[in-house]
Amino acid sequence: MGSAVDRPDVLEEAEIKLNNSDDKKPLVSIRAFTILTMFYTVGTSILITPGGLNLHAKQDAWIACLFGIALDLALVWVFSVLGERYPDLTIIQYSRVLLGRWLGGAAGLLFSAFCYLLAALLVADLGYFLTTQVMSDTPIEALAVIFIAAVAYTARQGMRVYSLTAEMLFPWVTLLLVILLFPVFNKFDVQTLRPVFEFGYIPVAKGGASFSMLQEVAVLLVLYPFVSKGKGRRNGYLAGTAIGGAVLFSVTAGSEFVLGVELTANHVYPSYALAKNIRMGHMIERVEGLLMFIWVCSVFIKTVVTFHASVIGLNQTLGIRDSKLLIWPLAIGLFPVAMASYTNIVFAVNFVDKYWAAYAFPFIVLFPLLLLCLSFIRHGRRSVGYDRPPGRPS
Amino acid sequence: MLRSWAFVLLAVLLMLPLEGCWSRKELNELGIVVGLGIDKDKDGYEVTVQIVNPGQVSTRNGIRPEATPVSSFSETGETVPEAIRRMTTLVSKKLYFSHLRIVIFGEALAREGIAKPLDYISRDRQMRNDFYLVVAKGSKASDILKISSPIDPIPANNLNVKLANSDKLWAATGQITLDRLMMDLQSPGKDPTLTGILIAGNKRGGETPSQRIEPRAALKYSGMAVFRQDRMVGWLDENGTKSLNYLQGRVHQTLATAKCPQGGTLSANIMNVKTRIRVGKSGDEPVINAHLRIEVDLADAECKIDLSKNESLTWIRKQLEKKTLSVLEEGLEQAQHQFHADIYGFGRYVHRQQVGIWRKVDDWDEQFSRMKVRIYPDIHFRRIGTIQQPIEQVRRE
Repeated sequence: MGSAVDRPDVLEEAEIKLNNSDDKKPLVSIRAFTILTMFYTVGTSILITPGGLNLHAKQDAWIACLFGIALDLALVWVFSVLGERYPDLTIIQYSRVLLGRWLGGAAGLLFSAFCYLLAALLVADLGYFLTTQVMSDTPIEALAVIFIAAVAYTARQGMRVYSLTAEMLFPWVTLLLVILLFPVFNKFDVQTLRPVFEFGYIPVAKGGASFSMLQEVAVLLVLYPFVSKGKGRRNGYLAGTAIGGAVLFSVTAGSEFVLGVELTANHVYPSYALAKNIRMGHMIERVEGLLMFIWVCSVFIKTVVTFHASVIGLNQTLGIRDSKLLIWPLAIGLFPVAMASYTNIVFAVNFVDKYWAAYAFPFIVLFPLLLLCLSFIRHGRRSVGYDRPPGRPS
Repeated sequence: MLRSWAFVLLAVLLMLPLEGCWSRKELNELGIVVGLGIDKDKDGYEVTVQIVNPGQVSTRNGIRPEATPVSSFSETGETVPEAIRRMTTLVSKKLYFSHLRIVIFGEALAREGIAKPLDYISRDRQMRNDFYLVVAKGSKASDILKISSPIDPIPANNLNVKLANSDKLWAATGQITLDRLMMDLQSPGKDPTLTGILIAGNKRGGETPSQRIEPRAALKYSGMAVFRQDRMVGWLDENGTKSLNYLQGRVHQTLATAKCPQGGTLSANIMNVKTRIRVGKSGDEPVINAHLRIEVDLADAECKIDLSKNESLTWIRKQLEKKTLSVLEEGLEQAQHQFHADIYGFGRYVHRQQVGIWRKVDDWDEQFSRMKVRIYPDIHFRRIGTIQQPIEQVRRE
């Protein structure tokens, strides 16, 4: 394997600015990146994790959730070290720097494919959720087509546009999240959480670990170089994950208080069941339809980011300079992939519960960790970027 | 130019999906179900729905006296949803369940088990969590849904409000929602209960809205049905229900009576009941210690007692404590030795506070039946109302 100095083309690619941004201004502000990370963490997890956690960890679901968030934060910290070592490169690019053209390219391609499949699964997740809870007569295909069109359109508008969209949605989603947690306040009873560690630490650790595989924050390493540089970028990544984690924790613990362990575990969408319990006098009730906004927003932002990451990844691996070229073709492909991968809801629930963690682990944990180790071996302790090409003697 | 044409084209294209509207439901096509009754039928269920007749409820256009505000329909089926679908042959509107106010199980069905029909109710997406579930005492659910109600034109709504109010002001009823029932059914260490409802008066006479001031028949809540797992095993009487609500800490307000020293009776408003359950151990056996902190006000004193003395209040307090204890123990006796069902959820407390014991128990209901329960009522006397001495005390002899 030769050193990256022999491959200036990799670095040239870093120059391909996306979305016609010839100016040097970063595409995403640190605040927007924090909010994107938060939406990304909340994503579909808010719909499905309370159920899985309560199923495996029983009344310790909240501890498992905390453990999962701690894992997430540890991973994000490691990812940010990696991201900061290559401040101007995406994970796709430095995988080529570190693994060489062919191996690195193949890894990048696999990572892009992972993002693409994840985007398709998110589309299917939202489709199943909407058709189960509200629009039972609407064909899931119709919802998927409309949703994919919106995702592709937004991704085509570029990172700046959708990060601002996320920023704009943030206060509304926050307000609705507070309303979602209304019923928790008068059902709050620490007794429900006892006994602690009844079945030992293993189910809790298992629950937490498989929980932390559902946030897939590693995908954001594709966006990382487009965020304004500085110390804040790293903190934004961590803070976004922490805020998203706090939301997931509140919903998980809240479902335990309001619905109890068994009901939460048996609901397909426990957080929607939680929303059905919102009742403030006769003023605020029957608002679960309104709260749909939370789930649709967070899944939407997550799908846009994931889909865009797969497009960027493919562009960079194949050296396509027109960043918008692949968006519509890939978007059209999302539809059959989404419909074919989740054939029914039982399969989807089972897949997420039993196989997703094992499937996602190599992509969202092993791959970045491997790159980080290689990076330390190859480049020592220095940070390597476009401004300071790797391997150049200083 | 091309751009503006593209916009026009887009606008036209956007009109296309509007025409589809898969889930479109016009309000006047919906039959809003307010009451759902489920009875046992020889092979399956007999399902009764009570549907609002909107024109007769709104008073704005004037009502036709010959039409009733609600209509009830019954149909049979092998499963609950089948019966409901079959109802399309009977009812002209599409049944819509999101405004359901009450679900009634016939007693015969309750004794056979309610888990099976409950699956539909908790699986269907139109069902919410703001209706109550009750058992028709000694009658069929369909009979209950055929009784008209005075004051509120919609009987199911009347039942819902009546139960909510009664639960707030009287300790001998309980409002059980779907989520609570499902929790009781699924989580270990608690057996479910549902409030009972019965027809007081002449069953046949209640079918038409009455022009009489005293209706011929009325619906009345009475006691609670005790379940072991999902099967009903018997009825708690008024005291049994009171003990259940006290020990679960679900009393908002209620009233208790006590005897006076020299004959006569006094009543006390009970409020702010706080129940604290502590599980102790004696050897390998769990022991329940229930501490009740109760605040009372004097509601009336129909006897001779000198209320200016603090000793009298102490005496009343002791009387009330004794009375409360005896009511609670009577209820406990029923649950432990008559029904063998842990309706209090003591098992949950044992699980939470003494996991070691909990894990060793095989048959919790059996353990519950022979478990020692100590009750410590602690009454705090606060106010005596707006006058001081009882009228009986101060009236001219």
